[in-house]
Amino acid sequence: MPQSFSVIGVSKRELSDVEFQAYVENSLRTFSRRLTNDRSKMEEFLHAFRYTSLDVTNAQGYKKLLEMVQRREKELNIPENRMFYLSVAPEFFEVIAANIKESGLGSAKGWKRLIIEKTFGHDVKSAQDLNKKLSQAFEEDEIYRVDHYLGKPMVQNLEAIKFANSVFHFKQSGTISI
Amino acid sequence: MNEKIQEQDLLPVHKNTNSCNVVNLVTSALSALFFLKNVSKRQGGITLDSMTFVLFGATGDLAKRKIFPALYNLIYFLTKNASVVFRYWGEQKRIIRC
Repeated sequence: MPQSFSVIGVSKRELSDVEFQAYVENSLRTFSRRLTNDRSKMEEFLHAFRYTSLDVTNAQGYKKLLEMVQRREKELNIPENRMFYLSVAPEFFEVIAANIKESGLGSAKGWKRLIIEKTFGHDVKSAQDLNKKLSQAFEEDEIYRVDHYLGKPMVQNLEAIKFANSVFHFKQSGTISI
Repeated sequence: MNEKIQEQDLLPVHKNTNSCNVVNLVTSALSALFFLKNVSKRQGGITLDSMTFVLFGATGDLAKRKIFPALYNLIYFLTKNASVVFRYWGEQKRIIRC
């Protein structure tokens, strides 16, 4: 566990930190393929999590988020490295990116990164628009576009390929080009 | 990429790649993001940058199913048994090796 690792959960729902941590623990117990039995590790992990409710379209609300981020940075002595993961509906990408910039969340001394998941627009034009808007708040090399399912069948097929082709048996490795 | 990553930084930190599983793709993607610019080796493991991870949509389905487990696995398993190795060929091509 890195000593200074802070996770701030943001969503519309009203939740306390403790409720959010319980939610995360429940998620791990249900969905993680690996878990340690070490109770203290779980607690250490959950302890990094905080929660704040936010209506992402309300620019004022981001102040509260910024304060929370800064407070945790101070408490844990974290440099202002901030990663923003947008696990939200695509129509909110633009407004969130703009508000991150406006609120000062994005003007930290450390690095900042924005991660969005597909879909990136619904056609070429809307994709170009989205890119244009995002580029007003983040540099291109700070934006990461994720497609979780890109290549998924291929990865799952690696086992089958390995099994069927003894030439691959000497080393259990596959190279995935993305 | 901004910074040149040396070939030796990209060699498997943990030599025993036989135990390598095909990891959750979200874990791969997250690992790539975490390590992309700051690959550092320390005592047989790779370390994470200190950071704040702000997750919008924290009560959503993807967070619950994939992101929290991915973070957990990344921190407690991948950082010790680095089974995901990133290799850069020029500026364009990124290879994730498992």
